[in-house]
Amino acid sequence: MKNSILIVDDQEINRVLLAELFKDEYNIIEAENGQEALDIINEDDSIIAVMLDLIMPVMDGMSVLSELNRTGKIYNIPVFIITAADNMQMLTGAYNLGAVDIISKPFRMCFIKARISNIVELYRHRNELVDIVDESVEKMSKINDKMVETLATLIEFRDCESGEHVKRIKNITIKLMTKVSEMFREYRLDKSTIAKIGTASILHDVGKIAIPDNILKKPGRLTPEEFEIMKIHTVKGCDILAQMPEDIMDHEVYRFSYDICRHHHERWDGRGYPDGLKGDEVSIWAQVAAVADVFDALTSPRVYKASFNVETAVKMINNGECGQFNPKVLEAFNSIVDDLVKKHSEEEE
Amino acid sequence: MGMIDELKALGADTDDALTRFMGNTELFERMLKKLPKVVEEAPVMPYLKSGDPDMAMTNAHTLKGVIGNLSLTPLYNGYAEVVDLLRDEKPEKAAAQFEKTLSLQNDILECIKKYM
Repeated sequence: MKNSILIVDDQEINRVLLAELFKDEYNIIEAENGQEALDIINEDDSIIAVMLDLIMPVMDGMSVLSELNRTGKIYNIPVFIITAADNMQMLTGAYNLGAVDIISKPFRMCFIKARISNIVELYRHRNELVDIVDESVEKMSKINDKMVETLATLIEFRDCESGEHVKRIKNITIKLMTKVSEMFREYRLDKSTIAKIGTASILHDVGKIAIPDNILKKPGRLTPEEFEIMKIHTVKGCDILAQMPEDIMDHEVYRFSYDICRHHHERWDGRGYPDGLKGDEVSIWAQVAAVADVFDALTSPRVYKASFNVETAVKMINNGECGQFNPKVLEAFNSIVDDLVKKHSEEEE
Repeated sequence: MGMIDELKALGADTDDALTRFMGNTELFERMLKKLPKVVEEAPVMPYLKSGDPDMAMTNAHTLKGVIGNLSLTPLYNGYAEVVDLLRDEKPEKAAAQFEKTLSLQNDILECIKKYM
């Protein structure tokens, strides 16, 4: 697709002059007023520069600049002001709103061509660099997520798990957090934050690495003393995370991981551990990860127990057999149970 | 003697204009022939008389830009002065200046209309 230049001027004579100058290199699009220009910019991805008159009917150039500034489009498309005005206040205002250059009427064609071409080329390079950086950041982020997932999986293997547990926890946490966020305004979070919480949830049991084999792999019920040792995996997990290099993962993912790691065994009535926090003293993401963890633990076979079917697991969670949970989280959980059952059946097949 | 030569005789800097139009005489003439309509659609004096200097300023400003691009230099200078006076909030002086400019504008428009 040929790149386009949008020429916005209410006077055809002015538009024709600029069109003549650029018609061999670019596709030329013309607009007679600011409103037409905005409509075109919003629909046409090929525009790489805008030449904008200031004084026009319907919508003037300053209003167009304000709108492009508000929507952030001004950062991707260079806007050149073309004007016969030498009102310093107005021209300064145009620069402040993001215009890259002022081109005075009558036009000096050779200068216009050089100035516009230079800036268009600079923007093209800058946009290319932004794309490269974005790609690299995305790639790094994926690598970091995989590293974190691999670390969690290694720990799961020691626990005689296949590593699937951490992946399931991530999926259930994302689904449940999304539902809680949709249903309850006070817990509303954006999609990207929920994705980070999902990634963070897979490290919830990282502290189990510090639990001796005879307890971690014990087939039977733990004694009270053994259970006390098991409980410290929450605190040990945080110690391990605190020793991880700062930049190994996204700052927010790290923050969520730390919190979930420490508090995924807290309960709504304050009878959980390690801190005995009550109600919303526990972050909503730790509350959600706790339900996800319990649900997956119940529906999966462990060294100390066989798996329960989904219906029984849901009943046990609702009955408080695994501790009390936030009623709102349970309401959201119950509304996604069908989805979880479906997923569970697919995995069994 | 063609339109461009006649306008040159009236003070237009036609060499400068043709440079701007990249030597395209036909395009320059075509744009010159649009000027009478532009002037008609952007009147200045009625707004000066009716006490609407903002509208007079907007139209004078529009014509200044177009006439400048056509290198009708003496007329451009006249409009530039009208714009300056209006910006300095001197509408009476702007009206007097515009009266002086009108005669040259009429000559230029008559010249162009002959070739339309």
